[in-house]
Amino acid sequence: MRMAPLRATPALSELDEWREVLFLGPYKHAEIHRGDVVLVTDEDVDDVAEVMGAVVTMVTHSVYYHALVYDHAWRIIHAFATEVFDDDIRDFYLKKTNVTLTWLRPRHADPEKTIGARETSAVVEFARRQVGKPYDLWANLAFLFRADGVSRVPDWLRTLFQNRNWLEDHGKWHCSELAAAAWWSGCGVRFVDDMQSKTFLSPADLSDSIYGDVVCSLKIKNGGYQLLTKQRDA
Amino acid sequence: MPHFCDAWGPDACNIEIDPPNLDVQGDFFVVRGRAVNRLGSTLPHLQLRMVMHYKDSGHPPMRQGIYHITDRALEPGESCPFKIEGEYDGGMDHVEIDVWPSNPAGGLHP
Repeated sequence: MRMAPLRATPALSELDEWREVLFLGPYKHAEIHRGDVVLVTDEDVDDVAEVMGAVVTMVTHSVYYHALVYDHAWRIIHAFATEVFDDDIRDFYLKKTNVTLTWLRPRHADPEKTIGARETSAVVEFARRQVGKPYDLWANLAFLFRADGVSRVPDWLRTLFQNRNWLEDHGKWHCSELAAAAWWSGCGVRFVDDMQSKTFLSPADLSDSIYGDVVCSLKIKNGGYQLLTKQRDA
Repeated sequence: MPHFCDAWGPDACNIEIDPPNLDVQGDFFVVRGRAVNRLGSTLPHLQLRMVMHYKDSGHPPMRQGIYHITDRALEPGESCPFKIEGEYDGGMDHVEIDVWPSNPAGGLHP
């Protein structure tokens, strides 16, 4: 694996209004798109949100605790802690010490159906319309009571936590709800067989979905950067 | 809501992994395949365990993770595709996948 020079920092080069190239040094690069889902791993637990994130990763058996919708020019839209935010990924993540950001590209179940600028624009616009809406803390708790969560709980308790149709109720959002709903509402991409199920989707459900492919991972390790891509080294 | 099948163990499904088992794509690996319910009863949902084996015979196999493949119930004989991606480290050789929990009494499920 060819490594980027020490102290190389990630940079973007715009291809058009919906596609960019993410660079790290002269050798490593990956094409990222508007609407790509970014899955987040954070090895540090420094605040309340990261404590919640640690619980999510434990319950869902996944390294990913957060999911967001990538827009363009480092902008992201995500449901985090108290509400849905429009943030700059450089301020929000690239100054952290130990974080991995994995770009995932959703796709249709039907390989004949392609996704382009119009579709990804609809995905991002859906997410953008949710900015400012409150965070869905309930969904975080609901992960405990999914079929793959804690057993030995009565059915009424499972039902209590899995009885909201988050695809239709846009009043509040959890991170992976927002990303999945943006793709479903924006261009009909689903992440699981039954998107109408009232089971809340977790970041793990997005990463494990057969309807999405990893594009690249930007790793921040002890303050240094590494870009993992699917391209063979030159 | 789903309940759990007494017969649910590591061999509850036939696991068919597409060649080349570990598809190396740059810095990542991709494993694709399908799980087929081989029981006479319905699986309430599907969760798989993947163990990575290494080229170095002295390197112990390591559990890569637990993956919740679907919340959908699987009827007897029904199949479900899966895809697992991860970071490739150069020493990885092939994977083995089975149904999790392998020990129903010891996992989160009864």
